[in-house]
Amino acid sequence: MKELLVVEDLQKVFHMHHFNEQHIVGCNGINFSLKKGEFIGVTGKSGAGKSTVLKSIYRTYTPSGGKIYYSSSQFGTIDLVTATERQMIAIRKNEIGYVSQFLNVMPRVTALEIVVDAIMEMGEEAEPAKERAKEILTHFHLPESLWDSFPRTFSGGEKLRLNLAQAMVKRPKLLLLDEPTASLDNHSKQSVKEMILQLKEAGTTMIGIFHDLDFMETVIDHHYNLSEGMLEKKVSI
Amino acid sequence: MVVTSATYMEEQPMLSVRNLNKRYGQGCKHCETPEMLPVNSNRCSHCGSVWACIDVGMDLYKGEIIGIVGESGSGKSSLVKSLYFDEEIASGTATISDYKGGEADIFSVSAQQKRYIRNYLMGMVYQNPWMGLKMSFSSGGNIAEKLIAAGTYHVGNIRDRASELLNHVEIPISRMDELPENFSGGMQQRVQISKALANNPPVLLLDEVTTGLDLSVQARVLDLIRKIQREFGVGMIVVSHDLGVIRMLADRTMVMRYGRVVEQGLTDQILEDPGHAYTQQLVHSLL
Repeated sequence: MKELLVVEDLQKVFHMHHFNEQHIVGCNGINFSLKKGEFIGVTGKSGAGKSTVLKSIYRTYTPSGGKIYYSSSQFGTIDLVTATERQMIAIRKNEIGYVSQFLNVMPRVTALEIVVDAIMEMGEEAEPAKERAKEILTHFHLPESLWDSFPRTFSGGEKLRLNLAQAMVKRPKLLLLDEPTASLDNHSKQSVKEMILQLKEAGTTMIGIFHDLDFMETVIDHHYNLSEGMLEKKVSI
Repeated sequence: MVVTSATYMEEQPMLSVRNLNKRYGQGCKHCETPEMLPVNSNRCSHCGSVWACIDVGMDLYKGEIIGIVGESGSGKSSLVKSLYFDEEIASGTATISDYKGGEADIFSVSAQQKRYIRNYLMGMVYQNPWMGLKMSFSSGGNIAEKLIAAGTYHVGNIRDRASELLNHVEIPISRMDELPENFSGGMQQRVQISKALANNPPVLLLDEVTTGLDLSVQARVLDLIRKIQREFGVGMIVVSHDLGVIRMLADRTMVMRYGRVVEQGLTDQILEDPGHAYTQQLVHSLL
């Protein structure tokens, strides 16, 4: 199997100009690789740098050093640290998805439209996009009565489900999950789990950050623990 | 692992700006070039001339929104006004891919050609509707002005197109013959947007379009901009000092200060991992 993602010596240092020019180390010397279809779970204390690693891959953070090789279907093997902004936009639109527990959407855009927009971004026509959006919202147990309302009014769990739907509908090659089950009840967790397992079957590669170890161990292939900016591999399950 | 070159066609930017400089004032021997000014200012201390844009460059691609943020006086508006030929630039070049195959520098063409570019290839929405609209003409008449400039003379066709555009921006057709003077601020802004879109330009310049509007009207205008981007695939430059607006709209963002671009990147990267001291100050002030 070919590696989809190879991270070499990834470093991120935040330079705080307004706090005595302080340097804060987000992560330091991270090395790992991901085969296609693999799912790794990352754990660690708050502030250990879990999200930093994920955001560096998604380029929300600009890494300070190291390499992130990603084998893209559009650009071949590309280093995400030095990829141009346009390349990153294209990769985000079609290949890498990011799900956090926070939903960041336009005000006054309905839940259904958000998902339709995500599908249309990939070049789909309006009508089939709408059909598919309805399908995925049903799959995520988002009640039909909520489809035409604004997500700002949703509960935490509903927001998260919409967030997942929005990311998963694109069938990304690589999915980054930043605490996807943080505010969910057991029923919703179960549906997220089903969705994750389905995606895994379909060959989606995933990296997930979890606090819920019991949940995590039922879905992942490998477990990494992050402490003091270093990533160590735990025994695979 | 080796980085391989891929079978990927290099994209052609729709609008490409290089080394744009804009000066207000006469200038003196102390400020002949912007490099002679101190880094933390763009005003010449000897003659009071201001370099509003210093060495600005950008590439705008199809269907993309670039946000420009910065404090008042940082040169944001001067930049878009220069691109729309409202202001005379000091030096610099710009090309549009739809104009002579992107080979000609639009700043050095004749006035007639500039008028052509303004009418066919660019739309501009000003912060102040009084600059973009003729208040003594009806709202339909304002759109007609732009259509006539682009060679549509048939009154029926003009009215059809005007009502189509007004419908698009949710202005009742019944008010087509009213003066925009009598409209509310949000409506005036929407008439301005429809006027800018009259000839389906590939590039749209938006200068602080939501400033001064109340929140619900602001949301409507944002909705409209999003709709336009999705349906027409227009490339837009959105100038705003409101980071919330930029976050919602822009794919990429440029941060300006003292006429210079101090930082640019993907919008979420600028907002979550700002590198420049000024951007950090800006982001930390966000509500």
